[in-house]
This record gives sequence, C-alpha cells and structure tokens, in this order.
Amino acid sequence: MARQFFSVLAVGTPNDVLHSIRLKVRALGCGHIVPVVYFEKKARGGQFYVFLGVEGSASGKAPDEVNVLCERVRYQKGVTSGGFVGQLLGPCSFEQIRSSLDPQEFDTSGSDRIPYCSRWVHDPGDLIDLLDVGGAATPDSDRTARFDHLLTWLSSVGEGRWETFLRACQTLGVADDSSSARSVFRRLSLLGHIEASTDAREWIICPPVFVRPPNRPTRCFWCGQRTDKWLGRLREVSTVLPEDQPGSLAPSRVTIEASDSFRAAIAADSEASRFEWHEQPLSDVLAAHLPDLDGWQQSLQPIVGLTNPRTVQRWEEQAYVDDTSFYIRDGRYHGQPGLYCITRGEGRHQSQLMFYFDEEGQRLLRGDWYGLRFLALRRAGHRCEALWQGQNGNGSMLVLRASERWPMIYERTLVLASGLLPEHSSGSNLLRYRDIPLSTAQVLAGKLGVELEVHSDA
Amino acid sequence: MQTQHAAPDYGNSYDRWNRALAHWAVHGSSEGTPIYLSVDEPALLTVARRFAGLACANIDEACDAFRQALIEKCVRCGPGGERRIDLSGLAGSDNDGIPRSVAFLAGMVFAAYQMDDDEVADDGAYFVRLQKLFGFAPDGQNFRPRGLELRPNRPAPEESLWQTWNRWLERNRFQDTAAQGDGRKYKYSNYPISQALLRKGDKVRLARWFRDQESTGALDHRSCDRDILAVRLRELGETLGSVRLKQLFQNTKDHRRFEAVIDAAAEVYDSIDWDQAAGASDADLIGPRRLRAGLYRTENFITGAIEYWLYPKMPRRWQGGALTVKRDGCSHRLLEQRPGWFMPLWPVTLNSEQRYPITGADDITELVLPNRDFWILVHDPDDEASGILASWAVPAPGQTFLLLCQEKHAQQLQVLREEQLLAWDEVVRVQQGERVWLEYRECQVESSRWSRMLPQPGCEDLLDALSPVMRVNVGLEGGLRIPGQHVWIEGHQPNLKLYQFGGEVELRIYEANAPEQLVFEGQAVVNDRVPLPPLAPGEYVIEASGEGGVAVRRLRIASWSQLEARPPTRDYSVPVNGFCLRGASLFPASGERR
Repeated sequence: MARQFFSVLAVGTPNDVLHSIRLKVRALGCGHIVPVVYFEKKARGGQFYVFLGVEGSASGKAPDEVNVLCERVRYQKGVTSGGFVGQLLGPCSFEQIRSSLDPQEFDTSGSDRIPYCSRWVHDPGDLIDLLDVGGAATPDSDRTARFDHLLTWLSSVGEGRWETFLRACQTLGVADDSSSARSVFRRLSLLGHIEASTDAREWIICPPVFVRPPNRPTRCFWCGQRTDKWLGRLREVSTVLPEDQPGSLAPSRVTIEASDSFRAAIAADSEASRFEWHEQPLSDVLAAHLPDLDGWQQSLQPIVGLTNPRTVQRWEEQAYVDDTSFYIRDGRYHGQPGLYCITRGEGRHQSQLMFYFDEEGQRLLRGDWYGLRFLALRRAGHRCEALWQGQNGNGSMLVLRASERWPMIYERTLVLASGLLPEHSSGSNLLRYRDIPLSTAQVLAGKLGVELEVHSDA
Repeated sequence: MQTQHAAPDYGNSYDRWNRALAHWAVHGSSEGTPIYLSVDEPALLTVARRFAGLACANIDEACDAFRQALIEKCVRCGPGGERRIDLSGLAGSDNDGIPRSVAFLAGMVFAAYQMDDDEVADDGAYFVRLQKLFGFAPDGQNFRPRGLELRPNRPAPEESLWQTWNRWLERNRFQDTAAQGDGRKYKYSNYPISQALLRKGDKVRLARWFRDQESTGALDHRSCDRDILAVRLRELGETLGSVRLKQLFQNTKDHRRFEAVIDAAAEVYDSIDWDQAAGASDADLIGPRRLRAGLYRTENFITGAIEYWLYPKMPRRWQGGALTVKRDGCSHRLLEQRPGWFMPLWPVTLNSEQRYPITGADDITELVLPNRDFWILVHDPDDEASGILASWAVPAPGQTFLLLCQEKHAQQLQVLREEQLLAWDEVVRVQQGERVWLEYRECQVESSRWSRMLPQPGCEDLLDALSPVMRVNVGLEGGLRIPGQHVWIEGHQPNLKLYQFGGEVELRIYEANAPEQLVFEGQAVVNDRVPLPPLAPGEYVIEASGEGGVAVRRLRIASWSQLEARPPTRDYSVPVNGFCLRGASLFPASGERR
C-alpha cells in the first residue's frame, strides 16, 4: 500500500519542531507507522506545514498513533518553543505534496549525493589452481623490470593477502586478472621468493638467500627478499649479473661472484648480513631430503568439513570431465580416486574447490594443482617420463612433458639448481630445466617414480 | 618515534616531565591521528608513574610534583621582586627534537581543566586559572600573568610555543588540534581550552549521569560500547545538567573534536565499576576497568563459513604490558596487531554479552564484547584491497561497509533504501547460534538527507549510527601502496577523491617540509576524481576544508630505491622431512637455520 501523507500546520522554528517530533516518535515507538516527515519548503519561522508520511492508512483516516503524536507535539504558548497548531489534514499522496517540498530532498544527481560504488569483487577460482598459462613469450626487458618492481614491492610489504597481491600485479601490469596473477604467484614461489598459506589466501616474502648452483661453485644467485638498496650494496662489493628469466615472465635472476672477499664484506655489513648462504647446492640438499611420492602425499593438508557439492568434475587425461560418482554420505567419501574440481554455492557466490581424492585413505587432499594432477596420473598407473641431456661444456638439461609437470616442491628443487624457470617452447609440450646434475635428476625421478632416460653428449 | 618509559634520572625535574608528557601524548596513536594534549589529574598520575618513572603515591602527589617542576622552571622574580613567568628557557627543542615547552603547555591545559563547569571559556576566566596554577596572587587589572602580557601588534608570547608543538606533531605525522579561537575574547585561550576535552568534575558528573541512565534503562552497560555511546549521547545528552557538557555531546560540527570527546566519555563509562554502588571520585576513575572488543570478520575458504572473531581494542595511550585473557581455563596473551588493536582471539557467536577475565594490569579486569543487535564493519584502512572487514572505524562519507544486524532491522533498512538514502550490494543470511543475522554487504550512505527519517521501534541506535555526519573525507584510491603505511610508489600514486555530501571544499596540497611549495590550492570538486600532477618522491599534506571542519591526510611518495625490506611476521614454511623450507631458506624444524 502506498504511503499516505497527513499535513498539519506548525509554528516555531523547523529545527525545534523536527526535534520535538523525533523525540515523541521515539517515545511513542511509532516510527513504523510514521517513518518520514517533510517540511514545507522555505519554512523558516512563523507558520508552515509539516507532512507526516504514514504507513498502513487504508481507511483514509489517520491511525490513532498519529493523532496521539500530534497531540504530543501540540504547541503550548509559554511552554514550548514550537509545535503543531492546526488540525490533521489529509490523507494525500506524495505527488500531491511534492510541489510543497524542497526539490533537493529528491535530487538523485546533484553533489548532495555520493554515487553508490560497490567494491565487491568475487573471484570464483580456487587459488591453488595455479595453472601456468605457459607458452613462450618473447624476452622483454621492460616486462622483466616490472617483475623486478613487483619483487621489490613484495619485499617492502613483507606479507599480505591474495587480494593485495592481485591488485599489485594489475597495477604493475604483470597480470590482468586473477588467473594470470596466479601464474605469477606460482613462478615467484618456484623461484624461492614467496610462500603461501595452505589456503593460498595469504603470502609472505621469503628471506634473502644466496644459493649456490651445482655447476658453478664460485657463483651464487639471489632468492627471496630483494630491494634496490641491497642491490646497490652488493654492486659495491662484487660483480652483479642480472639476467632475464625465460620469456621475461618473472623477476630477473641476479647472480653474484661469491669470492672470499665478497663474503667477508657481506658478513661485515649489518644490512647484508641478513643474507643466508648455502655451502652446498640447495638443489642437492633438497633432493636428498624430499620424500618419495607416498611421503609427499602423506604431507598434504586434508580438507575437513566439506559438504556435497553442486557440480563435480574429475581430471581425466588432459581435461576435466563431469563426474556423477563422487558424493559424501555418513562421513564417508565415495567415488573414484583422482583430481577433482567441485563447484559450491549459487549465482554470484559460486566458487570452485580442487582436491585430490584419496579413496583408500578416505581423505580429500589440498596441494599445488600440478602436484595433485601428477599424483592423480601416477596413482592411475600413468607412466611419467623425463629425459636428462648432458651437453659437453654447455651444462645439462632435464626435459619433461608439461602435461606431467612435477609437484611444486620438486619442481622448485629443479628451478633452484639454476635460479631459472623452465623454458617452455611454443608449439611443444616440453619443459626444459637448465643445469640439472644427473645425480639430482636421478634422485628426484626415483622418488617420483618417473622413468628417466639419460643422453650424454660424448 | 621511539617511546622511552624510563628516562635518565633527572629527579622531579621539568625536563623529565617534558619528555614524559610528549611521549604520553602520542603513545599508541597511529599515523594521522589528531592529538589532544588533554592533561587532567589522572593523566598526570599516569605520566608520573609510567612515563616519568616518578614514585608518586597518588593523584595529589603527582599534581604537586608537576606544579613544582613547572614553577621551578618557569617562574622567576622580576626586578621589583614580583614573580613572573619566564618562557626564555622553553623555546626550541631538546636533543631528541622534543619541544622544550610541552610541560608548560600541559600546565596551560591543566589550568583549563581546573575551570568550573559554568565558567565561560574566554581569555578573562581562563588566565585567572593559569595565575592560580603558578601561585600568583590575583591581579584585578591584568588577567594575564606577568611574563605573558600582550604587546601591541604582536602575538601572545605563548603562541609560538603552541606552534612549535603543532609542528612537532606534524613532523611525527600526527594531526595537530590546538589553534586560535574566533574573536578577540577567545583568541589565545582557545589554545589550551581546546585541548582540555573534559574539565575537573566532568568525570564525576558523567559517571553519576551514566549511573542514572543505567537505572532508568536508557543505557545498559551490557550492550553499550563506545560506538553506541556516540549515537546515544547526542539524544540522551539533553538530560545532562551541565549546559557545557550538553553542547559538547551535541556539537558534531567539528568531527575530530567530537570523536575525541566521545573517546573521553567512553573512558569514563568503562571506568565505572557496575558491581559497586555509586559515589565514585576521580581517584576511582583513573582508567578503564574493561577492554572493549569489536569484531574481526573472516571467511573460511574451504567451508565458506563466515566467522566473527573477538577483536580486543587497546586502551588509549596503552603503555604495553603482559595482558592475559582467560577462557575455559586457558590463558591467552594479548599481542599487538596494529596501533590501537590486539590480535583477534577466537570466533564468537553474537547473541549475548561475553566477558572474560583479564590479568596483568592493576586497573583492567575484564574483556567485554557487548550484546549489540548490529555491527558496522569497514574495509581495512591499512590495506583496502584485502577482503578483511573489522570494527576499525566509523565509515567515512563515500566508504562502503558491511552492516551486520539482526532481522528486526530489515524493515527499517528497506525503508532507507526506498528513500534512496542507503544502498547495498546484497543481503546474506548468517546463522549465529539459534538466531539468523543479516549481512548487508557493500553498504553505502548515498545522501545526507536523513533528517526526515523517523526510526522504527528498536531501530533508533541503528538509524543514528548510519546517519551521515557532515564532513569531508579525503580518499586516496588505487595506485600501488605499501599497506600499513601512507606510502605510495612513484609513478603509481593514488587517485585523490574528496567525498562530501554537497557543499564545497577548499583544497590545499603542499610539501610537508616546505608548506609554501603548493601542489594545489583552491576549490575542488566533490565526489569525483581531483586531477593531480605526477608527484615526485617526498611527503605531502592534503588539507580539505569543508562544512564539517578540516580533514588532513598525509601522502608519501617513495621511489623504488627508497623502499626498505620488511620481514614477515607469519611463517608459512613447507615441511620437508624434519626440515622447514621457506623459499630457498632451509632449516631444521627445531628452528635453527642451516
């Protein structure tokens, strides 16, 4: 029912009358019947009309509460400074009184209003879905500079949430959207610059470390926190060699000649003494300590509290397919083991969640997406392969299929052998990791159950 | 700036009080906070004991020690044997850059605090009080004490000291609040009077009035916290006996001052021991007995569950200490998360008041989450991009917020929306125990024309809390910021937007170290982007003057080469067979790094 208006003549100052009306409405508890009050335009003093908006006045008569209100706001000479003096008139519609009101009350476009602007942003994706969009990009020093700036910004912030990371990537022009920002995140993580919380909603910058590559004992490359100031300090005591990452898709690799005098200078510098050193190549150490595939699976975080999803898809071969066999009942999970992507919620609150379903262990496991996919392939009996190529005088290379990409922690071990991301040529499905010692490749392949072919140039 | 609580032993000296008062005034305040040098008797005891390291047994001893230090430093005998105030030793700053005049200015404020409730705040009445503070005999002819006489065509002698104090606050990135008054009668007395938020006796008067309101049911300490007081005092303040106090709580024109007054009143409210009968003196109202908690909202990514965490607010000028909250037999240490707030403790269900005992402080005995039927949560002011919302502040014009409320408010909110006064993006139901609450997400007040609205029964506080205050909000949006600091990166400066409901804004932007170096001066559009030239690295002050007073915000632009590394406070190491891997840093799980 449309609101109706009753008018009454008043005296005094509009502010005093309004104040009185507000007090009495609160005292009577009749704000649900009289939700609004208007004043005649140009009401300054003397006499003016007040318009009471009334709800639920079907009969055309003012409800009792309105009459009581009018009596309570009645002007009493010598007692009150203002109040109602006339009788209640009406009802009338809003259109009938509109011309008597200040038009600014209804102005929806002037500067009296602040336009509504929602900041709600919904990202339906799962943040562990760190799918690297891959493909080769042409080297671009400007793009490398932007990534270097991103690392500097991350280093000066220290820690934060995913949303802040996304905003920074977009502002610096290294990612357009959530999907591409997740790729950036993954690459930074592979390079040892940042780590994420288990739900990937938060990140931290990693401490600055000089990492020794296995094939160049006199050099080391810099992982983790990095600022222009520190770079400047290092330049004062050593030769610093920045180099673009493959495709310029990440911050530059900064290599330093690690002479004894350099080490002494760093140890004496209060700022730079924060840097960690590795006496042994980190990739060797990690390869020795990483668990096998069973051990890695055991280390994954289980999901607790999941309810039956809206839609379910399972990874098969090279893509997700609809799956109707997965469900949860009486505390048990049912379905085939594998990598799943489920959808929860409705409309703008739909969101995805990915996990590996360990049917035997009755667990739903979270980890990096490539790792979960690799796990699903291996548990399904898929034969994963890799090729190690020794190149006389030109280092070595480990090659594997992008569709069989290793779990993050193992891939990071490969990346930290050289400080370089893998090359991913356009048109091929292959990833090439540089400067991987044969021993490292053999240890890791053995732990993951990957068949390793060895080619050595004589 | 560093805070020192144990200064070298100067005895009860002026210098000791000076340093202690400077540290006390800004302690616990975040960058950009307006600072009031609101010295009163309980504050002097706190300063004496916790900042100056003086062994004062009670308020009287602290006040006497303070007066003695002031008189020894600032009072001299003139040629005719008359006593006069000597400001010569108070100019400039000490070796740490602290103005030498802070204690003297605090004395001036203390004199304002001593004014009676009904004393008019003009130069005449005020300086009589100041004379009394310094032990001068009343002079019927000259209300200003000797040594502070006005000279023709020259500013008052003490004005330069106030300006030095203001500059020190600005250099340390706080907002100064002491200023000349309007008109001849209030010109100089306004400096100290503006700083004395509550006068002597106000606390007792307020405490008694709060008890009266409690007994009539107008207030309920179980459901009332600082934010509810802020809306209720505007209406209930009518029943205060003191005209001056009434005006204090109803004058929202100067928004900064109003918020400071509410903070002071809330401190009185939280000092009351509701388990004891009335009859409190100021000695019993030294500081809050209870810590208040707000809410800190999180979303569980896996389950989608929304949780509201108990979020303890730090008392004003908190000096630190090991506060512990007890719950279900376990003790939880309160750790600082950011200026003014402790780390969130645990998820709560919102249908009742919750109280937890606190140990570790003489005055504070409990942590309280009031039983409210609505909460207003804002985006993180330190990191607007993050998805976290909490009780950090009252939304400023143009800001969106989350309104969490019981279903009984739905009809009132719908009316506001139909009147095109309030908008939101969506409403989501959240189960809290046996009751359903509603989240109105991305709410925003669209218009200032709320005076026509009359509240539905039970919605009075909600309507008052949502009603916009006429003030200008300086918005710095976008760009690339260092979260937690007012620092943006060169080449990625923020967009400037001034939000205000109509009216005009005079905008002035200048370099902080060179106020004459103007970037912008003149009228600026409201509610739309204000074009700015590219700003070079440096620090800038943005002053926007509108109907609700002046809003000041600082903006620092840093070059990439100026950025410093900041270590994280959290640890997301990856476990690797007895080791922890953090990036390329590998260390044994026992904590030793390799």
